[in-house]
Amino acid sequence: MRDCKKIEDLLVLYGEGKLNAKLASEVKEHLEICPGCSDLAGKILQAASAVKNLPKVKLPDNFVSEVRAKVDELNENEQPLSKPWLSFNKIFIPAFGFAAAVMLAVFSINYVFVNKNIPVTPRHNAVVKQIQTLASGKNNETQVVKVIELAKYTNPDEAPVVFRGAGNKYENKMILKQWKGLKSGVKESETLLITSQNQWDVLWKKHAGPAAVIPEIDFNKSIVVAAFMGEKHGPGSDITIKKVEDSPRDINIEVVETTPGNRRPAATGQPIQPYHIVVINRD
Amino acid sequence: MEDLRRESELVALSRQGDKDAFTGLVQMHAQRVFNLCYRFCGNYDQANDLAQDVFVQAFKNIGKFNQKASFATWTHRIAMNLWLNKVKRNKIASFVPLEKQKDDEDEKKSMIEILPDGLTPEQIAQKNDLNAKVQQALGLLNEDYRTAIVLKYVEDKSLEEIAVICNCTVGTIGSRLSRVLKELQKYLEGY
Repeated sequence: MRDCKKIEDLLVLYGEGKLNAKLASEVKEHLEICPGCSDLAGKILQAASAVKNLPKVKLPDNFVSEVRAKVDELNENEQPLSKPWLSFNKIFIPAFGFAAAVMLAVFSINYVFVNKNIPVTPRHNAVVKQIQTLASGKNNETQVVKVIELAKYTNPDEAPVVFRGAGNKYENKMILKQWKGLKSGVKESETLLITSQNQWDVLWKKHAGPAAVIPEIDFNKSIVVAAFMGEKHGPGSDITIKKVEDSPRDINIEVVETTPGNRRPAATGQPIQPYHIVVINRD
Repeated sequence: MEDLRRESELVALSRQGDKDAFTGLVQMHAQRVFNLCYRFCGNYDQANDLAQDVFVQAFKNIGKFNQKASFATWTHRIAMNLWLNKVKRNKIASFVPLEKQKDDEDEKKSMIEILPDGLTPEQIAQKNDLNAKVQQALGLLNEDYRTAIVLKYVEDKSLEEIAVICNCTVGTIGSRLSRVLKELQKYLEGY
C-alpha cells in the first residue's frame, strides 16, 4: 500500500481514469480506508469546480479589428507567402505527395500479393546458375553448387512488382520434412515445385511406384521442392538441397550435386537416381 | 463538423496570405484565446496585448501549422509560449500586490466578466468574491502549475492534449494538477 503523499499525486489521474488497473485498484482501496485522502479527493473536486466555473471574460470591443490592423502592418517578409520554404512546400510537397501515394499503392499491391496464399505454379528446371565447382575429397569427387530459381508465376505479368534497387527480398525457409535417397522412379534430372495434392500424388507415384503410400502434406500450409539428379551409374553420386529461399516472385534453391572422381568407374556400377525432396512452409 | 470544414478552408486560404480568411479565423477563436490569456495573465490589458500577439504570431507562422493538431490547440501553444516568454522578459506574472490587484479587479469586474443570468445581488457578490479569489490564486502559481490548471479546467483540454502542449507526459500533468488543486482547496477554504 502506498503512502498518502503518493496517493495524493495520483488523485487527478485516478479521477480521469488514466491509471492502469493495478494502480487504480490501489488508489481505490486506499481511499476506502483513509479518511484524510478520501476527504482530500472530495475537496480537490470542489477546487477544480471553482476553476471550471470561472466566468468567460468579455472580449474587448475592437479586438478583431485591432488584430487585423496589426496583420495589415506586417512587412512583406513577415507574411506567410513570402517565406521561401513555404513556396517550396507549396510546389514540392504535392508533387512528392503524389509520388509517395503512387509508391504506397504499388507497395500495398505487392504486400497483398506477398501475404496471401500465393497460387504457386510449378515450373520445371527453371533458370539454373552454377555458382561453384569444387574438386575435393579422398576420391577426388566433384561438387557442383547450383542455385536454381523456380518462378512462382508462369506468366510474369501476374508476379508482384519488385522495384529495382529494392531487390527481391529472400527469406530462408526451414525444412519441415524431407526424403533423401538414391533410388527413385524419376530418372530425369529435374527440379520441381509442387504446390497441390494432385501434383504430389503424380510425383510420388512416379518416384516411389504406383502402390506406394503417399505421405500426407497439407498443401494449404506447405509446398514441396524436389530435386532429382537423374540416373547415374555407380556409387558416389548424390544431390542435396542445401538451402531454400522464398521471395514474392520465386523460390531459389541451392543444390549441391556430387559426382564421383576419375578413380571411380562411374559407368560400371548399378544405376542410381539420387534425389532430395523437402517440405517447406508456404508463407 | 461544418465549423471544422470552414476552419480548414480558412486555414488553407490563410496559408496563401489571405488576410480576410485569417480574420475569419480570428473571429472564430478570439473569445477563447482572450479568455485563456486573461487566465494566464490575470490582467485585462495584458491579456488583450497577449491575445493580439497570439494571432499575429499565428498569421506569421501559419505556413508551419501542419494541422496535425487543431487550430485551437495550436493557438493554445502559441499563447502559452508567448506568455512564458513575457514572464521571463517583462515579469508580467510577478503580480501587483494582492490588495491592489483586488481593487483593480473590483473596478473592472462588472465590465469584463460575463456572469450567468438569474442570480440575486447577494449571489453575484459571493460568486464575484470566489472568482476573484480563484483568479488571485492562479496568479500566485508558478507557470507550470498555472498552465496545467488553466488548460484543464478553464479550457477543458484533455490530459493528453495538455501533455502535448506542455511537452511532457500525461502522468506529469496529472501529478501537477493533483498538487495544485490540493493547494488551491486550502487557499479557498471558507469560500
